[in-house]
Amino acid sequence: MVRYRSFALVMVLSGLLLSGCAKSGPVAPAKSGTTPTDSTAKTSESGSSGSATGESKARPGYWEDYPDVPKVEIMTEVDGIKIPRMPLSNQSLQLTGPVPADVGNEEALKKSTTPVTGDTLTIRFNAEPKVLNTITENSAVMRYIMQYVNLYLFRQNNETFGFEPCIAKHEIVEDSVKLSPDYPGRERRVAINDGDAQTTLELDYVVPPAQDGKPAQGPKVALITSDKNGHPVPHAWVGIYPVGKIPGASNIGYHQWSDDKGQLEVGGFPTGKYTVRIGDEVFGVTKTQEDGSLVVKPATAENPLREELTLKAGEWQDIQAKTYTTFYLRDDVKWSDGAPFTTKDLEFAYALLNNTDVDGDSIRTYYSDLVECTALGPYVIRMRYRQQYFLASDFLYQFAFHTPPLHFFEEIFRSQGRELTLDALTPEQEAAKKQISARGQEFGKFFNTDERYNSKPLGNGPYIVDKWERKDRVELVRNPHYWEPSKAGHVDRIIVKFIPDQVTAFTALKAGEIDFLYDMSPEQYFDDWQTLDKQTQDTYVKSAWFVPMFQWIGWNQLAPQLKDRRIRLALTMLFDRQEFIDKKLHGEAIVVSGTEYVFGIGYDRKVAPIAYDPDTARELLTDAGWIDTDNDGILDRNGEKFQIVLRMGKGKPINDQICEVIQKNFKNVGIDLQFQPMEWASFVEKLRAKECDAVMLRWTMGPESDPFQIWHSSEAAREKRGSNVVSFRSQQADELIELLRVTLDPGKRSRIHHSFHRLIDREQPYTFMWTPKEFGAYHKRFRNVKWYRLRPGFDLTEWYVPKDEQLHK
Amino acid sequence: MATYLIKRLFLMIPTLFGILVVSFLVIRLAPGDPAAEKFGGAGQAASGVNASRGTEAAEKRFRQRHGFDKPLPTQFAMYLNRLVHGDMIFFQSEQPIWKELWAALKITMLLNLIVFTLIYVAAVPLGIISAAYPRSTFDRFSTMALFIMYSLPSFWVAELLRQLAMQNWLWSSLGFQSRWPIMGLKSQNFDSLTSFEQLCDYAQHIVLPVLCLTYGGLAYVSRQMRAGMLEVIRQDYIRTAEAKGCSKARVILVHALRNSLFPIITLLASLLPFLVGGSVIIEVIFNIHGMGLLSYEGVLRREYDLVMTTLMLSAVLTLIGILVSDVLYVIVNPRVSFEDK
Repeated sequence: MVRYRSFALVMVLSGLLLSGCAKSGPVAPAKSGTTPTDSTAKTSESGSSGSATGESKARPGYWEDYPDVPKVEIMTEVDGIKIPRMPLSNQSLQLTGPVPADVGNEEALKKSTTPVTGDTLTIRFNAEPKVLNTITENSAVMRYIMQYVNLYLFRQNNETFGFEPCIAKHEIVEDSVKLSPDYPGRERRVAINDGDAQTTLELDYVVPPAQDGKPAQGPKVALITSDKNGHPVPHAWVGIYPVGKIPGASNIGYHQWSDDKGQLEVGGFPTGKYTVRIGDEVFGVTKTQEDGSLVVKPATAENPLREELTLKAGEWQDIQAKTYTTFYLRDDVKWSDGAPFTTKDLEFAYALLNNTDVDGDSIRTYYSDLVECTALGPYVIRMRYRQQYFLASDFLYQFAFHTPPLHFFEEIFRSQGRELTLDALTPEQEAAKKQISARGQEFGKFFNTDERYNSKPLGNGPYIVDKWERKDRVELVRNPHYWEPSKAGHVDRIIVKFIPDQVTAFTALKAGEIDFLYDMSPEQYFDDWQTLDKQTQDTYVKSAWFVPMFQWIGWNQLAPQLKDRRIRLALTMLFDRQEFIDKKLHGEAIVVSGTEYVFGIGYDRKVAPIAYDPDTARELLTDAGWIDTDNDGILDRNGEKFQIVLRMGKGKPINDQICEVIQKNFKNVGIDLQFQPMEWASFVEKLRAKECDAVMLRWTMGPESDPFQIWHSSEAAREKRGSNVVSFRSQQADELIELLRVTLDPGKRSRIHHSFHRLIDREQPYTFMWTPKEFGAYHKRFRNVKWYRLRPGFDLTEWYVPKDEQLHK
Repeated sequence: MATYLIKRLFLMIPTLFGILVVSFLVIRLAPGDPAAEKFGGAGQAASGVNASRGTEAAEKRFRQRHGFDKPLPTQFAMYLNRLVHGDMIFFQSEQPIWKELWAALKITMLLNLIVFTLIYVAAVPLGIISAAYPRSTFDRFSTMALFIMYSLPSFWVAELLRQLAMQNWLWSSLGFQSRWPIMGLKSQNFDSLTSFEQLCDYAQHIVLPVLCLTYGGLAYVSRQMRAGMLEVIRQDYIRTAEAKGCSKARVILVHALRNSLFPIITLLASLLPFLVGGSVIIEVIFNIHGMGLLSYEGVLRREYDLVMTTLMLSAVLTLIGILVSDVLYVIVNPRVSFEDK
């Protein structure tokens, strides 16, 4: 996630920083200052070739192909104890490539058919969204339904994982360059409050210590941006850079822009010394010349920079690569009522995301670093990201998904004699001008609750919402105004049926009430299926496919008995994951050793998962000082017994089985494990409060994900309620994460991910279990059914029913 | 009688307040709150938790907006304030609860009215006949059948009935064209049917859930009726009636019936709350969204206002039910009067 600003006042507890791993054996070769802490002119990246350092030979501790990326070796032993590993899987682990259609559907393979339109598809989902508003609702079901209704600017190809033009025809990406404050003709000055205007300022930022339970609140510092004559300059860039390394502070600085009056309030960083810089900003495609100068070439016709600008060394102070994106939209995209989709709609979405009264906090966090969204014409829009970030383009492409139709809301208010505006207005101004502001409180409330859009949104995709019978189903029909015939979808109607109960859903399949049972339980897939009569078995095709997800047990490092990584390693060795998969899941899962998607570029396939080996586990436990001194069958150390309480959500029988196996294995080496399945809301509360020794959970993620939320130490403190639920802290991990986030070259990022993977393997904060498959069954009359390795794993617009097999008119 | 009623109605106020406090405490003392649910909700329990979540700040704002960060007494005061204004909301969507509550209430009340009518229509005569001819073949047979029914768990019966309903040959041999619906309350083409067809469609859908809800209660009520009646026909005045030559039917239906209705009337007190309380199990199995599922989900999702409202609804109806049965008691039994109390 993208919240550079908010890992601010965190590191008050930095004294604790090393306590997690200080004791734990040899740590990977230490890095030295290669992260771009020094912001000047280091961060430029072309995104194509590798490193900037060029020809120099690989240094020890760094990757050969990317000599500025610290390399972590795969752990082989701890304190002389050899770490057993599983044989590397020979399963093809290709993420991308063509996906075969209709696997397992014998009839489809026997006779070839051509795609035709017609018929109805009824799919079962396990939950109902509260609304179908893509800003205020954040459930997976909403996304799975609305992906057919609201499209992206660029859509992800399910086979290549590349992004292809969709609503946008093409995009042009430019870099942001901040000139030096004395650049002739573009001088800039900054002042604190009424102090002297200067080219740079030193800022001693002190966060007062937390008081009686309330988290520390950093003070706000008021800045004024001006030119050299002291006239205020609006919308001027200000960068605040840490001097040296400040734990928890952004290593590429905090980038802010002053307001209309040239004023700006900054704050919320960790205590430390900062340099405040100012300079005029230009953007374009940058290229470093051999003599060290930098050429900035405007790549869009809309760029205010009219011609190429060559900057000598020292004339610029910061580059953020690929932060300016100009999208050129297709001019034939229509909403389902026939109105054109224009950049006005995108500006509307931007206004809504910046309206804190709009209940879209889950989405808003993704766009908190989208600092500008300006229409340059009805079909040209420029978006600016705060700083370079490897997932920025993904977020921008998705922006259209969260875009509601402006004209729809304009009409509602026009009928009340009011005009909907995107300008920020106070309630008084709204009343006086007979306007309503999309950034205002009244509109926020309206948008959150009005049924007209929330239960029957207009769309621009191949399907639109025809009706929503609450608690029962949503019906989608083909959009008559859809603008891309090749992707228009084949079935006439998609009925999404909400059946929360697994048994009822399975019965509904048997009774023929649904065509596609999504989210079957493994028990149903393997066992209950056998109990079906032959006819039913022949009518449906059962399928299993991978999606980006992994299951894990986390060992809370705030628990004293789990602080030592030798313990955590030993615990991993006490569960034979492969055997469990073979026996209970019939092999339909892959044991993983790290946090990235097993098929993705971030997963290091050289790191074989740690093997089941109770003997080595015993050795490690003894090495860490846990010995059964009183012969009661339970290990102890300094009079403390080795006891662990594992908590998890209730309701998945397979999880109970896992726990029973683990409990038994733990008992054999003298560890007392109790497991507590809890009702979900209670479990989440315990999880957030970090009141679990151990937890079992699944993370879902993208094909490549940002480890920040789960692993960065700024989320580790006990009072932080984020996703770092095991309070993992590692300075080295932090540095890798910070480097990763600003690296745009996928090859280099892959290496950083690999180092991170090895580090996580070494520390074993989790016992990584497996990436399971999703299970389902669908009616065999459907053809061109493909299972992709992205969530949800299928694209219903591709499915069709041959004319002679269609069941519904 | 009027003063008695007024007194009773006033007494209900402190009782209700007590119930309010206790239920508020119970639901609030459970860990978790709507904020955690909204941002890390049960929706994610099934599919896995999204790893790229970063909503702590948003959660904090949400908590502050609804006062979940305040001490419990303050929250209780906030709740009372909302209650007085009728401003009960789903916290997560910030929508009033009334629409969903009313939708669920309609479903449950209709189902339960049918069930209750069926239970009484069948159970009272059954009980009377059993009592009139104790230890007869009919009595033995019905006793056994009813006890077996009483002990069958409803989820099991529901599953059996559902399996039976899925045998398409059965329906085609009985002359039905389409298969029997096994879940929901309406067919998907409900809106396009004529009103008579809609009625038939609805009737078809509710047969299975109504059966499952009826048979247990049937056994219970008819046993009560039988016991009540047996108690009465041992009395002297019944012997007198028989001795003076009344027919058996007259003795039972005129002389004994009225007095044997006392236990049934007591049971009636539970009628009102029963009307608005759905069965979670049956509703889950048949995918019916009545009061049972609504309040169950309300608890899981920590929608405090909804839970409190359903609890209060039951509480108020229970109190009214008790009052009504007390009044009925006096009406059927002249030996009891309000003045005695």
